[in-house]
Amino acid sequence: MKLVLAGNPNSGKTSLFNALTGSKQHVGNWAGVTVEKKEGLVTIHGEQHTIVDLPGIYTIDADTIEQRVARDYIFKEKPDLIINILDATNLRRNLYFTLQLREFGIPMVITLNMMDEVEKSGTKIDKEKLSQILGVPVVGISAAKGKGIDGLFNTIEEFKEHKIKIEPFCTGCSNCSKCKSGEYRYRFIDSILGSCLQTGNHKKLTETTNKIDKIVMNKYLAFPIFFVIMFLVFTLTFGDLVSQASGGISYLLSLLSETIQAGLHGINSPEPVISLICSGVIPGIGTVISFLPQIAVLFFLMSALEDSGYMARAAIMMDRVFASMGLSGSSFIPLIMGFGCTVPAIMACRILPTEKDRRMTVMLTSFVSCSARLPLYALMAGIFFEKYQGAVVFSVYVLGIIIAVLAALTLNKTVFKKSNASFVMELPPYRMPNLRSLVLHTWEKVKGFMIKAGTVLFAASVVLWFLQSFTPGFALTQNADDSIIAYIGRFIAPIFTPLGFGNWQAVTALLSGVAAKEMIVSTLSVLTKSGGNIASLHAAVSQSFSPLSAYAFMVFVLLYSPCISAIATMKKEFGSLKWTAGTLAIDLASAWIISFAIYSIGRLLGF
Amino acid sequence: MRFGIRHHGVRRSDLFKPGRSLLVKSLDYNNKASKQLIDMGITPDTIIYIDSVAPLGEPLVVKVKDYKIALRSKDLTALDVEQQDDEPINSVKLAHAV
Repeated sequence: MKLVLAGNPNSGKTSLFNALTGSKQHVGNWAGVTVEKKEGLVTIHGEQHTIVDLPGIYTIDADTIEQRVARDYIFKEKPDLIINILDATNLRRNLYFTLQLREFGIPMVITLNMMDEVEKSGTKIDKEKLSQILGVPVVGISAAKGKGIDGLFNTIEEFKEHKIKIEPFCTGCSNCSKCKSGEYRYRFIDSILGSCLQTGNHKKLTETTNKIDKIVMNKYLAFPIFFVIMFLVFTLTFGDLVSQASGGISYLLSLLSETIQAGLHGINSPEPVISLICSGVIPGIGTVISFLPQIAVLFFLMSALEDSGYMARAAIMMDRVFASMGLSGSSFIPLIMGFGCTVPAIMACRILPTEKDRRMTVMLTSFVSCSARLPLYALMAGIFFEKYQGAVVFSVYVLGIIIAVLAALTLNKTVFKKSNASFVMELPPYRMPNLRSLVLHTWEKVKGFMIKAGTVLFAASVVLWFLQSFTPGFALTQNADDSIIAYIGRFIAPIFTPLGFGNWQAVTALLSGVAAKEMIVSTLSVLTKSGGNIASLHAAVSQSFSPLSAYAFMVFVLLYSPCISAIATMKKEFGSLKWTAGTLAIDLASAWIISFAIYSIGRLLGF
Repeated sequence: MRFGIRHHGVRRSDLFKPGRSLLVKSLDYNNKASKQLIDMGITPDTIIYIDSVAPLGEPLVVKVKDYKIALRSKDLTALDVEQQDDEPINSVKLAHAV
């Protein structure tokens, strides 16, 4: 059977989908749009059925892309059964979507989720009566607790065996124009609830949420609390524990590399092969895997914040700032992630409401300074601005934010017409995230990251190895000066003379930075023949740069281009080469112009 | 029915202030936001309660029956509302809004 899962956002749809499919799910995109598509296999009484998870939406009218995608799917694919999931603590609004689904005439099962919370509040829902009025079976579950799923399966099985007939269509509400029919639907719903719903002590449910909101959304406490939470997330992600895990992995890999090197030497393998494996493939895998601990922790913490309901509050707090740039508060979540790593930040843009929001926010992530650039900042600031290191690095971050805001304002007036989508965000009650769900979500996201970023990063590392290890005559060389990439660097170096760093080592380092930003420092170290010795690296760098040109260099690194994994992710999210190329062009242009401005003005001022 | 800057003599910005219980009389369907408001359950004869304001002044947190949503005041102008009496929070009135 072809099954479809549909419901409001925040109704626990994802938990139910995970509970039904377990690991047998696949995440992709709906054709041609930036909307996530989840499909999976669910086993009911020994038989496998396909199930598609439609985007969480409040209405099936064709206002937004998600709604259009859901609507088209139901019309064209004609699923056998719609599993409509509702948040039972919020029946009035959830039933609105239910009524619309009913109008398709496709058999449907109403699944009331969060029944555990309903029971706790003393509210009673007459499921039989509801089922009678709407003409469809009504099942109660608690997806987070895993209760009631058997009942759901039984109902689906009964439907399949034609033991029960589901005839949902009724002419009640769809005669008038779109909005008027909305009013009629709610009148119908209110009359349904009048006979099926007995509200209990609602206050208990919402009391805790309200108390927490009074603190978290308080005029004076809101932002400090927000910064504390973000600070915690970042210190946990990039803190000692996690970097030790990363370091451990790197260490093991270098051991592996040495062992293999020895082994291959022993059997007299040709040098290029040894070099390929030990200096290309293994470090390539190494770069990818050393990312893993931080990515996993970042995703886990962000998912926990989202599931608890806090993220909605944070987005609401930020809304005013973003509204002036033509976006909404929801855009800030991906941008915050960009401070850690651009790849998951771009992937997070999927949650944004409109195509314009998604495209523009993805473009803005390239101005947010990711953590891989930090080693370069630390190096330059440490050598040239010893006493004011911290302030200098901070100024670079702030500059990134300023440029992002300017870019947003400009893009708003030029490339994107004002879309005027109204910002309507629900504040779900605070809920304790379910650990099993969290781990599953995080695992899915990490897997996605590994596949997207991992493969590209790995390929880029191998290409970089090739460019660094071979001369233009394709002979293997240990001397980095003679490598292909060094020749390319020397060739384009003159372009950077007006910026103060027209030396080929710096430019070659920038080229390697396109593969991965961490490579900038290591390439500089290799090309200045410092051989891992910090002191000689410092000496070499202080000879090729001045404080002013070092700062111009840092700014260039901030703006010029995201790493190749981010570029690949960008292309996947945009779905178009045109937009990706456009974003890169803007990045390069702004990097060159602003670096140039800083260097020129600095020189004029006598630095 | 006018949806202008003043509403029955009261400035609209004063209407949508925290602590107000407002009865929705009708919606201005010429305003794009009205569709979204209806979809979220803000229909005629519904009472909405302006709960609070976000720290930066916008958006407003509005309580509708069982749930809270954040709305920009610009979008709220799509509603024609009638102020309910300004009493200290009365549990009977709140039961309608919550």
